[in-house]
Amino acid sequence: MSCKEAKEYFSDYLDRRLTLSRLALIREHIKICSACAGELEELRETVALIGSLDEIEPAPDFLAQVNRKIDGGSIASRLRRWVFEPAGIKLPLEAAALLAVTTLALYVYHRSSQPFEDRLLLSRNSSESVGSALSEYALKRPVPSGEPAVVGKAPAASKSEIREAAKQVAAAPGGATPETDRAARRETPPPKQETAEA
Amino acid sequence: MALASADDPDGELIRRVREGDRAAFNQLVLKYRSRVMGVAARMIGDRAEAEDLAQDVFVKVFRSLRDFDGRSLFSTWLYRIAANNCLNHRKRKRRERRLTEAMKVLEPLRSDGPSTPHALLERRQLNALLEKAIEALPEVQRIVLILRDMEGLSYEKIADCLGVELGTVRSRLHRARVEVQARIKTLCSADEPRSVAL
Repeated sequence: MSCKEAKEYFSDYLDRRLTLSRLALIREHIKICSACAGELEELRETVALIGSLDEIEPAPDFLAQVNRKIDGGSIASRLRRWVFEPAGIKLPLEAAALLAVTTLALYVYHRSSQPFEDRLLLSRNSSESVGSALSEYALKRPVPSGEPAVVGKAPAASKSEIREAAKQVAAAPGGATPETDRAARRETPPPKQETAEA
Repeated sequence: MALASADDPDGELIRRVREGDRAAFNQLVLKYRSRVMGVAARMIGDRAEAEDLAQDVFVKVFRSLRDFDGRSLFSTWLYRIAANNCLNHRKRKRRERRLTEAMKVLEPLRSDGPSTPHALLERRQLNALLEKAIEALPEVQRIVLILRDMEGLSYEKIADCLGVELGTVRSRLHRARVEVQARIKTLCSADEPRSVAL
């Protein structure tokens, strides 16, 4: 056995993992080769030194920190676990994405299940009723003294007054919903402030 | 859910943890924290990061204990998680640390100031040399060396932990030991030849 070949098995020799035949060959070699014998001894000491290195003790609050991480964790990590590990089952990213897309598709389908024409008609009726109700209310409203009169148009009503009027309209059959009310506000141009000389 | 092996000395604790016994889990942490910390500290180098990583190992163990199939011992499974976490952590940090690592490898202990042969013979300094030599090993060799020579795992357990062949464990361990031995010699001879008897 050559020196190079013998050295290849030094680790196995130290760990007693050699077959009997190979063990015999190594022993025979180190008997006649002092260089290899010395090297084997050095390796043995090195391994012993590595094994005797000081233990690295964790901090005294190690256990508490572990439990804190298990129980707490950041909001983001808890949310991630809630999304990806519902009921303690790890959900792959692809499955989570598929679930999200399906939910979104169902939501959109549900929202668009009402026929378009019906929605358009409802929107028109509502905006008309809101518009007319607001005009009627504004005309009936008494003009406070000191406030400039508005020619041709009703004086500007306060926000609370408009809201009250809108509620009355909404309460009436075929009244406006908050959505149609918003649509009506968009469609109705703001009144022109044409003040007359007193 | 697979049960832990009947031969596993931690089988009873694992069973209790699975039933929701937190005290049993804490016992497992207390039993293995030093070993996991030792592996992490010597793989990572930075104590604070190692501590954090070791805690994360136990958090992972707690959350995935239901996945533990009991085909290996709990300790083997734990070392596998620790080794994987360390290697993954190293991968993440590799880019950041590339320059620092290179400097550490090249930096001999001469920078600590002039040393006498007596001082070099002190165990503390020898340990420092060893730590340096181990730190400079490629990580695939280092983890095998740590698991074998510091943690005392068998070749079979290491192969199981790392998911590699027995022959790979054998060759990596041999190369790691020879490398450490050579590096210690180099570092010592840089200051004073024949200062450390190896």
